[in-house]
Amino acid sequence: MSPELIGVLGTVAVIVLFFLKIPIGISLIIVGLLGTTLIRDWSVAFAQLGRTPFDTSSDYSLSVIPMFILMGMVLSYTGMGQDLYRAVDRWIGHFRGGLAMATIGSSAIFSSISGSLNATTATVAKIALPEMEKYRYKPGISTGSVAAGGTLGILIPPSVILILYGILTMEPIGELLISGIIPGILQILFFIITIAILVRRDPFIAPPRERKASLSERFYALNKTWPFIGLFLVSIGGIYLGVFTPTEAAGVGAFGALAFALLSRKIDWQKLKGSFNEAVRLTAFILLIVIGANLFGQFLAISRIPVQLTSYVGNLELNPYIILVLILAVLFILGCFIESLALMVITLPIVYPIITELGFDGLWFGVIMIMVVNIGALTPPLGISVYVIKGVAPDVPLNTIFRGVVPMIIAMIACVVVLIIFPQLVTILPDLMN
Amino acid sequence: ACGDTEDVQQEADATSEEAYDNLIVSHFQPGNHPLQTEVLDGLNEDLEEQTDGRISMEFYPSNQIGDADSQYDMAVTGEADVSLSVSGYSAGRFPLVTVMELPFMSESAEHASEILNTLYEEFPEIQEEHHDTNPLFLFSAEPAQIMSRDHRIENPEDMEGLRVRSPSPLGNELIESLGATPISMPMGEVYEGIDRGVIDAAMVPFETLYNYSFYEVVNYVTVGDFAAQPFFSVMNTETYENFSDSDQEIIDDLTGTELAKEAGSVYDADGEVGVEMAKEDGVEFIELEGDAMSPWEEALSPAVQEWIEEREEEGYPAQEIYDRARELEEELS
Amino acid sequence: MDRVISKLNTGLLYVAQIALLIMVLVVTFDVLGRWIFNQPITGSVEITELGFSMVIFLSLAYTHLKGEHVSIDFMIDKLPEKGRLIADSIINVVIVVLMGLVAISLFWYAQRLFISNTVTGDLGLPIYIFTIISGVGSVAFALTALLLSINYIKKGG
Ligand code: NA
Ligand code: NA
Repeated sequence: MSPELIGVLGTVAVIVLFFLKIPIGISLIIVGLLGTTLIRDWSVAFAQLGRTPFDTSSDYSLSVIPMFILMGMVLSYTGMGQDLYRAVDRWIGHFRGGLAMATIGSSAIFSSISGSLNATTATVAKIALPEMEKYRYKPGISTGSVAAGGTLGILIPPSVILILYGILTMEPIGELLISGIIPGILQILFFIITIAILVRRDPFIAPPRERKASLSERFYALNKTWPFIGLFLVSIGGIYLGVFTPTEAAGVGAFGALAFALLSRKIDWQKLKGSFNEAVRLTAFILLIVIGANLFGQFLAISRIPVQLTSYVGNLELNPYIILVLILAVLFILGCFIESLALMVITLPIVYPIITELGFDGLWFGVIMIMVVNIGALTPPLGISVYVIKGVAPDVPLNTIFRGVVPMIIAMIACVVVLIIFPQLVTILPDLMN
Repeated sequence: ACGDTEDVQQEADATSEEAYDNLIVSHFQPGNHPLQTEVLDGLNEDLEEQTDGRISMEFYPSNQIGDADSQYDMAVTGEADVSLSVSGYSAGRFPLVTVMELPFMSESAEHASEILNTLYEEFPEIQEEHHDTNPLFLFSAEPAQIMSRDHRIENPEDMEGLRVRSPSPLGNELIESLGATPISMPMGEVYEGIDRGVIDAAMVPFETLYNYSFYEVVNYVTVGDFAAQPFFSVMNTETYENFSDSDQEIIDDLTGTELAKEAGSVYDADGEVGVEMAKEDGVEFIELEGDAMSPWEEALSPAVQEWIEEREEEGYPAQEIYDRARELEEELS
Repeated sequence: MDRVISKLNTGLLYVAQIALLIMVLVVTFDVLGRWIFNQPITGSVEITELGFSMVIFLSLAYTHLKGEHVSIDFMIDKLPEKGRLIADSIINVVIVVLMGLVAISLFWYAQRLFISNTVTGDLGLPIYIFTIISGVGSVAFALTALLLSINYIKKGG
């Protein structure tokens, strides 16, 4: 068998193992091990099997992950999510559909300290869903806005997936994180506009509220959001100004969150233990996948597929934008079936060289790719956000949740299109950094 | 499969894996780095030609099949047939090649590479630290200089209290013995570090003026050839031993000191461009020569003594190696 | 067996959490030290890296015990209950074998690092010790999978 053929079969095998419920990281390791044995030798494969997992797990730039996660966990365990939601509600809750908009807004702020989609979705779902139910919002719009807001968790920095993109492609992590800011804000606007349109078309899905909060009430509530904003400014601002490396920003951010939680007595021993416990578990599950991804990526590299495919696509006489759209369409379809992290790690070694060969900006593509795989988090059969929401609101039928996110998906696609037409929106902030 | 009936054999063997060895060559630089496009590619062409295509190389740049600090181990295990990286990335593994990291040992990368490779040939102890592979050539980057934005550094005292980016663990000791604080920082962050005052100076080679655009942020360069960084390029032992004697000879002839010098000159070429750009930009170069040098030698000699003593205690002929290196520094310059 | 493995995993998890706390403290005080006192912490990068390896390997098993390693279950979950339990049991056997191999490979790597005397640059910490700890974490992961596999069979039988 030629190495290329082994590479193709290996890629198929990974997907088969995924569907056999073998954990994603384990599937990737199995195929990496067997594939390398076939192309090279078993002694080579076992040397890699020991070295790569250890090297990956002691990689300085990856060590930002547990610390950013810890920062998010500590603040969500302090119960500050509630205050945050109230505060945003005071400001925009009186518009028609205002609670749904407040859900997007508080997701956005929570995202600024959370690196993960699941953490953002779960936290905001727990707070916002009961509130919207109280005001008799239709389940479609309430769950739809929570699911949409959750996707901001990995677009607005910090974002674990953007960090991984940097690791896998060697794009600079600090600049990647910064490049998510404007697209994140744009996405927020698109979601809010979508809600406004939905409410205009069918006012009954979101009954109006009776009264506007006074200005003093508003500012009083706003005061509660400062730890989020403060930590965001310190960690991401520090990266932007070049004061910190991303790892240092994460460490200082986690320390700041801990210090705030302890000093304000918003966290007790149990909650403190809980946030550490959850942070290391999330890290373990993400890193098992990354370890698998690296082993699988090394196997793909020696199969020569990425090199061959890159030169093949490079020689196609097609408009680069057509190839880009084709790649995004494939990612979109795969994203419906494969968990977004796993999707990124198996496709990036192949896709990234092609994209850069076509002359597209690697940072820009990172943001675009994350927005596309994000959509997969909202679609059946594997829409992870939808299942998280289902976990929080067991009474709402899955179908209703899936239908509720359709307009949000359209908003996300629209946002991707805008960013393809105006790539400067992604690249201007990282460019200004230098 | 190599032998007298070569011509007849060759066609038959074309499909068998043994006859044609496509060496997996892994290194830590990007694929467009001259270390690949000039040095390794050139070696590949010569190999292909002289072995009638029996041996050729397939490149895996940018650490894509293993980390920069695992490249040596990859050649030990056979994950790579040939690997190339920085010796210092595997701290503790090569206690003797670090002699090149001591101050004033060389004046250019080519010079340093020739010294290092000669030391390797002369001292069985340096061969012994590479015993688990078959070294092709050891070489070196340019010696590091001290670059700063705000501080004009001429005497060791000018270093007092400065935060200085260190090139290596041994560099830490040099910086400390000058009364400065060593800072470990990836090269990619040094530009901003200097620009925003996170560090006051950096111990880096000329090449960084160009490759990392330091000429834009630096105003003073103190030229003292403080520490050079040794590199290795090694072949898996089994891979090497599986070649016929005549092919081994071809490999031996194509590698060694000459190739090491060529690899070093890649860094020198970038260094020259960097110096040129910096001069155009008005950067001041402070050359430490003659009398200006002695206070530096005095200030740094305890660190050198410590290097020697530590290794002598471990049973290495460190004094002898150091003295010979200084001798070669004169001889080969 | 349930008890022993659950105790083992909880113990390792504590160490992982302490390692994470140390990482946060070292990074923070390194930054503060550098900015305020002109005195960074020597070896902060390598402490962070080695601490990170412990965070990961010592919590892999516990995470598996909690069923949190992501897998795609919607196909297997279409099977009848008995089939599902058998499938889950087999999946765990696969994990036992694989993590066993990972552990052996890690110990082999540790041996190479030990023989070649590879240490960290700034503090000279022997790296093989952390590679062995990672191997121990992998063994715990394999044992946990073994336990789960047996439990699934018991439930199915
Ligand atoms: Na975020
Ligand atoms: Na990177």
